[in-house]
Amino acid sequence: MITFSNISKIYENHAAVKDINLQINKGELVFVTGASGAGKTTLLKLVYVAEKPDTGSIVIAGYNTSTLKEKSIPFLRRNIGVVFQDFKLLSNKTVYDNIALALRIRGVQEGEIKNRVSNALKLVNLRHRSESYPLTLSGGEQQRVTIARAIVDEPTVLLADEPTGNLDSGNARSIMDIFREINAKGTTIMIATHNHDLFRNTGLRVVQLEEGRLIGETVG
Amino acid sequence: MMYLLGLAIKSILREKWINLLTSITIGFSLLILSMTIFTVYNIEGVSDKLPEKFTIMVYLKDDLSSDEIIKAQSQVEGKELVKEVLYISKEKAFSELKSNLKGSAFVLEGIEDNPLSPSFEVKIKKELFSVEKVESLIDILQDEPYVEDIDYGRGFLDFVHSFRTAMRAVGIFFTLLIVFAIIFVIYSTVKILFYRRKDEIETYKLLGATAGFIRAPFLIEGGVIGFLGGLFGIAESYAFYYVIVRLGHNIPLIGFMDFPVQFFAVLPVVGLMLGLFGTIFALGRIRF
Repeated sequence: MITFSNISKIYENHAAVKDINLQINKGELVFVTGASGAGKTTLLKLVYVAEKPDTGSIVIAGYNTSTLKEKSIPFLRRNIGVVFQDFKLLSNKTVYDNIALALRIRGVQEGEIKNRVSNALKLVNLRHRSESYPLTLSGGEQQRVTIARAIVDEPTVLLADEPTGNLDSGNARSIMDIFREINAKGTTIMIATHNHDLFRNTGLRVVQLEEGRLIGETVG
Repeated sequence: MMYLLGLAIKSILREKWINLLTSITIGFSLLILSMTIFTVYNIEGVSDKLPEKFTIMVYLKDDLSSDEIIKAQSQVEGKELVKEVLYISKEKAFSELKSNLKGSAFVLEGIEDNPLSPSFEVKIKKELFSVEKVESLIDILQDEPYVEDIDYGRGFLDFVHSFRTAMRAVGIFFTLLIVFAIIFVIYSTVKILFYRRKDEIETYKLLGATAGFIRAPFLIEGGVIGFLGGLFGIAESYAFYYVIVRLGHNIPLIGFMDFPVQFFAVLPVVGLMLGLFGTIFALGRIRF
C-alpha cells in the first residue's frame, strides 16, 4: 500500500529522514515512533506530499510521489486522511462545516454530506457538538473532530501525527479505539507518536526512527 | 458550485469595507475613462464634420478645349473619393472675383486680359474622407496633363490630422493607464484577501482541494468588486453628464457637445472583466 524506497529529506544540511526503506501493507496499522526531531512528522508529510523527498521514491495507492504532476497532488490527497498534530481546524466554521469541507472539496452532494458527517460524528462521539465552533471545544474534542474530518470520505490510508499529544490517558485510549475501529474496516493507518503507552501490548508493528534513520522494528 | 458561491458571498460581506473602497476607486477610475472617451468622441465628432466643408481647387490649363474639359471633369468625377465636381470657367471666376472686390475694384484697373484659370471645385465624399486618401488623390491629380495647379487647405488638413492623431494617442494612453490602474487595484485587494485566508487555503490544499476550487471564490469576489465598481462608474459618469448638460445651457462650446450615454451600460461589464483579470494575476499559479 505504501512503499518507501531509499527516502531522504534534507533541510539546511540536516537530514530530517535518511535512507528510509519501508513497506506498509494494505489494511495494516503501523506505529512510527522516536524522540522529538526523529523525523516522524517529515515521514508523514512525505506521504501526503506536503514535502518532496530529495532522494528516493514513495509509492502510495499506485501514485509515485516523486514523479507526480502538481495538478495530480489533490487527487492523491483525496485518498489520504490526515490527522494533523495542530488539528488545522477552521475556527470560523462549525464542527459540521469543518468535517463537511473534506466532502465539499470532492464535490459530494449536500444530502450525502449530511449522512456521512453524521456517521463520522457518531463514530467520534461528537454528534452533540456539530454546531459548535472549534475554539469552544476541549483539546480532546478538537482531536476527535480532526479524526472525523480525516475519515469522513473513507480514505484508503489514514495518517495521524501525534494524535494523542496533548490528551490525558482516558482521551488517548478512546482515540486509539476509534483508530482500531477504522482499521477494522480495512483502512491502512500510520500513526506517528512518541507515546509508548499507545502501542504497548497491542501486538502491532512499531517502526523506530532515530535522527532520521530507521533503526529497527518491533511488535508493540 | 453553490458552496463556492456561498464562500464568495461570505467573504464579500466579511471584507465589506476593503471591497467597498476598492469598488469606489474603480468607479472613479471608470469616471476618468468616461471623461477621456467623452473628450475623444467629441473631437472625433468635430473633425468628422470637416469633410462637409472641405474642397479641393483644381486649376486647369488655359488652352483646354470644351471636350477636353468635359472629359477631365468626368475623369475626376470617376474617382472613388469624389462626391461632385463643379466646373468654374475663366469668365465665371473673373466675374466672381470682381463681385468679391466690389469696394476695391481699382485693384483690377489696367488688367485687360482675364488672368484667371478655369478650375474644378472638387467636393469629397464624407464617409470616405481621410487625410491620407485626400493626399493620395491630390498626388494622382497633380500628374494629370490638364492640371495646372492644385490648391487645398493643406496646413489646416495637416493640423486637424495631427491633432486628431494626438488626441487618439492620448485617449489610448489614458485608457490603457486606467485599465492597468483598475487591474492593479483589484490585484492588490485580492492579494490582501488571499493572504488573510492563507491558513484556510493551506488546509483546503491538504484536504485535496484543486486549484479551481481555491480560485473560484476569489474570481467571483474579484468579478463582483469590478462589477460594483462599474455601477459606481455609471453613477459618477451620470453625475458628470448631468453637470455637462446643465452647463451646456450657459456655455455654447459645451452646448453642442455630445455624450455617448449608451457607453454607461458597458461600464459594469468592463469592471467585471477587469476584476477577473486582476484576480487571475493576483492568484497566479496555485502551488501544492
